[in-house]
Amino acid sequence: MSITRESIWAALPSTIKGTPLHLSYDPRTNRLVYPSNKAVILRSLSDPSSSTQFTGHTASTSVAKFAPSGYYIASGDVTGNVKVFDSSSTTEDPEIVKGTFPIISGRINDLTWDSDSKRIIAVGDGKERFGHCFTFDTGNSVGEITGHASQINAADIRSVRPFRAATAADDAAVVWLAGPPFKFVKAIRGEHTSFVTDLRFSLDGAYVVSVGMDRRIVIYDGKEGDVLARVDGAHDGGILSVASGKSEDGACRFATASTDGSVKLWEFKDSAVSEVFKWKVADDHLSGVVFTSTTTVTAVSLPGDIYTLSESSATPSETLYGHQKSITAVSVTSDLKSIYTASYDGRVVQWNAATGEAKLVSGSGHSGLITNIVETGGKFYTSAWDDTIKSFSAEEFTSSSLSTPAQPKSLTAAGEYLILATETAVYTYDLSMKQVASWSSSSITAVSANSSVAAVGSQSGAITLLSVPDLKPLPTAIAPLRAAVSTVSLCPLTDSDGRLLLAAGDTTGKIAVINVTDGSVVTTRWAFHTARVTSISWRADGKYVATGSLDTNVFVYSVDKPAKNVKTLGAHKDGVNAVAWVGEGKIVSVGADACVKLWNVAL
Amino acid sequence: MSRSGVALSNECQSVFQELKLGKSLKFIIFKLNDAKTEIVVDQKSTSSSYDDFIGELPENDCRYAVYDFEYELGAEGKRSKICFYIWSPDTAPVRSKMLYASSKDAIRRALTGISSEIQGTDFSEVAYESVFDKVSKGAGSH
Repeated sequence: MSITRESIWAALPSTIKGTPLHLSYDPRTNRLVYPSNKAVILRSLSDPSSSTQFTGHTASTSVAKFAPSGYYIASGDVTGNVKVFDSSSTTEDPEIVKGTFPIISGRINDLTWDSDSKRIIAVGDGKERFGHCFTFDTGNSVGEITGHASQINAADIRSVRPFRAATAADDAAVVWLAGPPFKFVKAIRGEHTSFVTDLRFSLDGAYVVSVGMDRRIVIYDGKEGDVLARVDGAHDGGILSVASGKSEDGACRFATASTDGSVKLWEFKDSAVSEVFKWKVADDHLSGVVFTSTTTVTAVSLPGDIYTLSESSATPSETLYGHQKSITAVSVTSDLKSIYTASYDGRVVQWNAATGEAKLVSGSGHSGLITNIVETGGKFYTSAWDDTIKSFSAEEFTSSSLSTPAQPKSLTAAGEYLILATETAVYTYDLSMKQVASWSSSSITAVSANSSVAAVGSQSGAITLLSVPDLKPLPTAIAPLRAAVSTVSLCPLTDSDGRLLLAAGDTTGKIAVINVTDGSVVTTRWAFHTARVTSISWRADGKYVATGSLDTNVFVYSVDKPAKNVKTLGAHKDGVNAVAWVGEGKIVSVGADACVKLWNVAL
Repeated sequence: MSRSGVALSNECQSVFQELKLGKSLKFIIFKLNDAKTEIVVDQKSTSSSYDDFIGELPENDCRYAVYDFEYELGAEGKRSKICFYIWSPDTAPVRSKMLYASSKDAIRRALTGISSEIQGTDFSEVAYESVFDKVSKGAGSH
């Protein structure tokens, strides 16, 4: 009787338009680390379905970096806290946090480790100061980051002695520091004419590269900080990110990612640079770039998609898809081979249930929160807050689209029909999306149906039964719940006693099971959630129910033994949005952390 | 960069570090250079007399200043606070007052470790007593 996690299909990196995303890669474990909503994701590039989620932060994370030793990770959030944790921590083990350091009073924009893996420079948008240098274990101050008049976007430390550090900021200046303890040496102004977004030392410490929104690349001497060269108009858009790497023959290189959607590879030549390669990656702008080997580069676009680029092709050789924003709906195909998920931003992703590989459902999709994905008649139908119902099969949306009379609350399949609930009415559509019937009411919150009956929940706690497809109220009366109904779910089949069960969850976390055939209450024992029940899913045989809630927990309840339950607490930070069964012994859950998690349920 | 586009010269940072860490200086007065493009050091001094500092503030023009303010708390001993001054007398030209006000961020945000900020529009506002009142009230001043 337990629930154990089988895998996490990770969320994509969180990005902000016009703001660089600093990525970090660990060659020993072949993992990428990046900030994602309130978590930090450690994602294996060789097995995209294997990920670890660090949930130690209480605010949205903004940057995460591996120590050069690979043993620790430092991560920063928007409130100015830096956490240092063990990179070997897995999601199953409690994460080992080495230390929490409040650095500044605003967003941490970048973190950098020195090559001893001892000191960290954290910079960002503070009130009193824009950055600080401290030891990773005790947080002792080992320098002062001064000289900028506005937020610092990036910092880097020279990897060889004598140590130098440089910072790049919105005041168009680059500040040069010597240390440790790191102290201001000089501010280099006039080289950039706009925000300086990123800056890196070359791996051998001989050069520094800074890039900015003015489309310029500036090269400095790595020891003294003298300006050596400048490349004007390096991209057709502002440059957001630069990464340092090496070629196979050991020459130092760097890669730049730009808002024009391209990544360029450059090589240092004496005191200048030359362009080696150019990739046209995406139509959206690119937020971050990092070297993953001598021949490959990984770039992240504004929607968070992760592209692998190699010199053999001018287009991405591999792309990792997923969700960046809260996932709001999930649907498992009837053959159990694929799982579809949909998110707050209107994106629909198809996952291979066995391997966790993700594909984007393309075509003219939705532009707002998708409330439900339902499968019927061999196709999938989605309702969204852009006030449309659309359909897709396999990997592409069909062109047919139905404008709904009001914002969809809930969509459900009822045999050969679709039933849509809005705030004030319930509608039946046939599969060619023609309206068949409607029923008006007020404060409707949820609907669930099979081919003969529909149950409609409301804000007042009342549950109404309607006939399908003509939506005429049925005479069976159901005692109202004590709080607003948040979700209802009809059992897919009638049990051996001829009962058709309905599970109804309310906004206080209680679930009532009602026999729809005579309106009697079967049990109200399922009251273990402490906040709004967001999703109830019946196993195909009608014996067990999986539930998800805003309280971050997932429960599995038994119909035969209503007092029994198994649970997993803290399944998704900020709430579970939907759960679904994948066959007999497995459930999939999605939540506000934009991750998809699979759980093995032993009953 | 400040709203006016005025930048801070590198010298300002190093002289401020001398005052803050070296404790060798008592005060620094900063001004805008003649081209009004950069904030530069006007003068620095080791004089411990507050009147000397006040005497260096021009009657008809604006300045920025940093003063290492020391005061006694009787038996509790000596305290030292670094104060940032923006000196903008009523009699200064409007253009100058505008330029100093709009360029303040360029210097104020680049200097760390300032405990109080003093706005002075006449000599009564920068007098020892009024500054003492202000610095001795803040958190950690006792």
